[in-house]
Amino acid sequence: MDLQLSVEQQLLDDSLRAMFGDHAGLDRARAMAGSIDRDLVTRLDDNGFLDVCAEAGPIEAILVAERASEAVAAAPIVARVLVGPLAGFTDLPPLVGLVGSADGLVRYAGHCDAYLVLDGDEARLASRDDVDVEPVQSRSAYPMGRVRVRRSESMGPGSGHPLRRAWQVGIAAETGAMSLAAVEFASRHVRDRHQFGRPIGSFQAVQHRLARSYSMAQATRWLARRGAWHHSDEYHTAAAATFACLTARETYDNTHQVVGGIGVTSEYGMTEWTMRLLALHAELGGRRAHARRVAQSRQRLG
Amino acid sequence: MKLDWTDEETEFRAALRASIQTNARPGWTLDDRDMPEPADVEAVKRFCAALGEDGFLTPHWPRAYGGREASPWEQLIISEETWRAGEPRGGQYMNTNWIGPALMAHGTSDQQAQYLTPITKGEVNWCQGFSEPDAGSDLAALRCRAVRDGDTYVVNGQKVWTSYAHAAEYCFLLVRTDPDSPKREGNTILLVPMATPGIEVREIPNPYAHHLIHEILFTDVIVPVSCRLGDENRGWDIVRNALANERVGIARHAHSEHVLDRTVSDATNHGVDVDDPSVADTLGMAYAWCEAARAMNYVAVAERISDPHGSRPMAAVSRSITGPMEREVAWACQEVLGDQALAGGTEADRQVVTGTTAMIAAGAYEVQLDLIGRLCLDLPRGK
Ligand SMILES: Cc1cc2nc3c(=O)[nH]c(=O)nc-3n(C[C@H](O)[C@H](O)[C@H](O)COP(=O)(O)OP(=O)(O)OC[C@H]3O[C@@H](n4cnc5c(N)ncnc54)[C@H](O)[C@@H]3O)c2cc1C
Repeated sequence: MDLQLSVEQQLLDDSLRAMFGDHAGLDRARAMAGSIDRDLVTRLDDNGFLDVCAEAGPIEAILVAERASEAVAAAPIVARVLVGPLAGFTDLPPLVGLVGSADGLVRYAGHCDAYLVLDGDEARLASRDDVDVEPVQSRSAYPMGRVRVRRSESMGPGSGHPLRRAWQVGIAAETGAMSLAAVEFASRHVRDRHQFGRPIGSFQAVQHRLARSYSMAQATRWLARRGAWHHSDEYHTAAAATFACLTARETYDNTHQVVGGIGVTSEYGMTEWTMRLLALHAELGGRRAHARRVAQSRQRLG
Repeated sequence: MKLDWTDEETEFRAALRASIQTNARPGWTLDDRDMPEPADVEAVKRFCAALGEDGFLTPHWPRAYGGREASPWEQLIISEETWRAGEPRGGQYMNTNWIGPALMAHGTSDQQAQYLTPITKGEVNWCQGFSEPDAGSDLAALRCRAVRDGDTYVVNGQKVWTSYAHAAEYCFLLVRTDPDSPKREGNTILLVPMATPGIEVREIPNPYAHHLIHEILFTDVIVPVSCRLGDENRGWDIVRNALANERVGIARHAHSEHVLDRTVSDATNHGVDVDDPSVADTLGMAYAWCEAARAMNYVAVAERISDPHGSRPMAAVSRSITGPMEREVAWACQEVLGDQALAGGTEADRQVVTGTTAMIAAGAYEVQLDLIGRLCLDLPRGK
């Protein structure tokens, strides 16, 4: 067991942090509202970051996922960098969307070159020309839509399970990183904001909400990393997604509560994370669906 | 980063599991860990002696003290496997995790010779005499007094909530030696034989478990100065270090997971449909909490390896997940089993004990959250 990043992983993480620092972040996310950041994806592609999973491994892919998510990158990077490769898809175009059911809502629907489709026990690949997209208005901070698949290529019987597991890991990776960023954002707020003659962050009631979210977000981050490493193990991947949903909710509630009125404005920016957490919390059936899979896979293990 | 056990670690776990299987008393549970009966005290000693013989009691200790400097990961594996088995070491996990190391760091050679070998042979039980009626979370407010009188100290006062006190040969006792100095100074550690005249141990009745908690009364107890650990009035630093070691890597998740497994089979036997979506949902959530606790436990161990002398914020994070995990598991068992959970002797029933105490014993949950606020989020101190 070794939880430290290797020297190469640390270097990768440093360059990712620099790249997303320069080319993503809150202002950029706001500027991209309802759209997709193609420039960022091209930049990642040019630098070889989209294919780190095959070339280096799942931990490297999850580092990209984490940095993209904390920087609220306005593109389905996690689907392309982590979910697709872990599910066994190769040679994917830069922009891929994830379709969970026939009438489910899909993030970045209409903006992607291809879609990975979970169709019961099967995973399928559909190109943009083979789907119809009905845009759906949503407050979730993602461009959303329903994707109706006309034609697709099956990855074979049973291929749906790896896709679902990889997707669960992706949900956890995004949730962990976004929650940590949202908690950091809210912490900055409560350090600066004074009421009753003192920073509101000096009130224990405020501190404890943020501390609780921070702990759960850390746990989610590490469950996602473990899920990526053990991505063929349903118990691990479903546990990661279940805990991610708990964390998303906890972080949503706690960060909004301690930031107060300004937190609900578009101008302040915190909703860039929290509205995305709302969407992640619901994906693939949400917490209950993931939790049932945890229980079922545990019984199979037993 | 490699999130797998190495072959050596896997072999170590398998050998340890076999040793536990061979040496633990059949049917051992977490209730027995409190050693309510004399036979349990003996069972703990026999088990620890056998574990020591097999090389699994103190392998993480330095070679000079009979260990082989096994990695903190192996120490964690020991905790996982013993917790999974209901902790048949009783309170002796304290000996190996922090009392022994405190003796190595601060003890005289005579003290080391006297106390360390019995620990490595599993022959001795210790208890931790820190908390007092008016000094719980605010431990530095302790008042149990030790007054120097030539070559001895005379101890008067009270300790409370003490685990294992009825079975212990020694107490790792924190006393106030200078009442006039600031709270964190003026405290001293004494290694006190529990058979010393003037010590009275009383079990504190409770609806949870026999001999779960005790109070210890000290009336004119004479303790030789040679029983002092480290310098006079410098006990706080020793305690702080000891608590840091005490609180890292306690693998409660391994036990809770086992409790859930047992509850599933108990529920099935009572005709509960564990595949019912609402039941599976409850169980799945509780298992996910166990995994979260496991993940952060590992992070805390990694932090201990990479930054042994730092403030170790991840230890507080780990504990702030582990405590609620015990509660989630306890309530999940209640929900899944319904009224059957009230029948004594099931794992679900026992989990009520640990679900209730895990967020209090060894430091309240809120104190951990305070630490996280300060160390991880840079939040300002309250007034
Ligand atoms: C089963 C069990 C076994 C134990 N074994 C031992 C042992 O072997 N040796 C030993 O020395 N001690 C032992 N203890 C004592 C344990 O360390 C204390 O119970 C613990 O430190 C809390 O102290 P307290 O019980 O006095 O609670 P208090 O300090 O009175 O606190 C009560 C509650 O107030 C809240 N609180 C306290 N401080 C704060 C704060 N700063 N901010 C916000 N909220 C706060 C928390 O919710 C806390 O639970 C044991 C306790 C239990 C339950």
